[in-house]
Amino acid sequence: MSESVQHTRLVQAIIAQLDTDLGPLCDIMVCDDSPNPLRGERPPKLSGFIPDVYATDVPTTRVVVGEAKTEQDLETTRSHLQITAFLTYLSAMRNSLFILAVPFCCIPRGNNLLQELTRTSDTPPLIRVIDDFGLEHG
Amino acid sequence: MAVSGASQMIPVDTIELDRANPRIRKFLEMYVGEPTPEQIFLALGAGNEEESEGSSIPTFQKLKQSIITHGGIIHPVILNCQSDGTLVCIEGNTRVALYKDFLQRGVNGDWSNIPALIHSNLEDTAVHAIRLQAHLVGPRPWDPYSKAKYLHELRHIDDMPLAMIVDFCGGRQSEVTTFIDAFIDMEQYYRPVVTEDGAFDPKRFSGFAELQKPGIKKALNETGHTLTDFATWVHEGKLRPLNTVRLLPRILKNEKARTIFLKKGARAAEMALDKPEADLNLQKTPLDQLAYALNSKLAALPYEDYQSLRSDPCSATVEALIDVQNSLTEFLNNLG
Repeated sequence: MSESVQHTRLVQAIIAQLDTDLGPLCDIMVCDDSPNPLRGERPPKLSGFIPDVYATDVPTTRVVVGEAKTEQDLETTRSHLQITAFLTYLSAMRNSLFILAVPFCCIPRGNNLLQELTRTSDTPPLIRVIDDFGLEHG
Repeated sequence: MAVSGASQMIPVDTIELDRANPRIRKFLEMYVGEPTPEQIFLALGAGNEEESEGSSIPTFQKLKQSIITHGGIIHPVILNCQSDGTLVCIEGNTRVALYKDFLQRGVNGDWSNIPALIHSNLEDTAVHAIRLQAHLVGPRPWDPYSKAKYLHELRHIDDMPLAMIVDFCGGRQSEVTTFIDAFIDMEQYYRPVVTEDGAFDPKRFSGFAELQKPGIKKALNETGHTLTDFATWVHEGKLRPLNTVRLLPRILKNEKARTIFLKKGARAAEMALDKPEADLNLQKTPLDQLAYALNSKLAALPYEDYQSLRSDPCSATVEALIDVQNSLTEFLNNLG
């Protein structure tokens, strides 16, 4: 499976997960950075980076930011900076959630990475790691 | 002089689009000979794409989505039945073109007949009067606060799904969400602040719409301020003009600017913000050259850069462009 196909699958897994966290797709605002965004809107830039998925309920009481990382992506410095920026952004909001979608083989590393990156935060957002089938781990 | 017509459902394939329609004439003039229906259709779409995003007039795509969701149109189109029996659309060409397109592409729904108001043998003056009233005067758009209140009621009281509201409005989901969130914040924080003197001003709505942009609430939170503080600043006129809300993250993080802001407001505080000095050579460049250069630069801006600016409305570049826009508007107004 090519990198981009895998990345698209991971983004789709995050969008499918939103149903559990925010409610049915027809009722929430979803912006995704895919070649064909679900509602034609790309996510806003948060602390300098554009996430793969940005979603809120309406009226906004909860913000969910989702980021998809392939095995190669997960270890880059840019990815770590990006995830840190999203976690910092979300930490200022109540009830916020960060979803990291990674291939099944990277689940342990994904969990460890998020634990490392949220260790020093006083008010970390809720975090969740899912695989490309949308199954939750950790 | 007002003219009356008969209201009927008319088969769309009997209607001719108006080639003299001012909206599309400029595009049709590019074609040699008689334009085909497809060229007229393209011109109608192209003509509409020029409208700005903030416009209250629906763009081609918005109108298209809204008609599909609603299953038809609300306002009948206006037709002129000419002496040879031809039905020419003098108002509502885009709607007729969309019905024809839906019919041709087999879009779900009944697109064979369109509600129309038919006049017979209208004189040119009457045709001009209808076009002018429809496009230069137009229906009075709702003010943003009233729009937001209505959207909030649809969502909160009638429990209408967001996707359906967006489709009916033909707008973007983020705009609808911003309107609803801004309305709630305004009612929750601004109304209590102004209760005493009954000075609730719906025109301050745009300040609360700006508040929904990424980073503004976060900046308030990080600097120990609340949304009630924000509402008080709006009430006291410290955030005037209301687009200065987007300066708040920079003002609140700058000790000196923050002190000035709390005393005198955002415009005065802006002067205390560190602004990058323009290149010395650029400062010596004549105004017309600078204007040409900015124009060319904007015209050639890569799409990626445009998207990036759009997703970060608080960036230094966007702020610099807004500054230029404000200065230019003031300058040109003074020039007369």
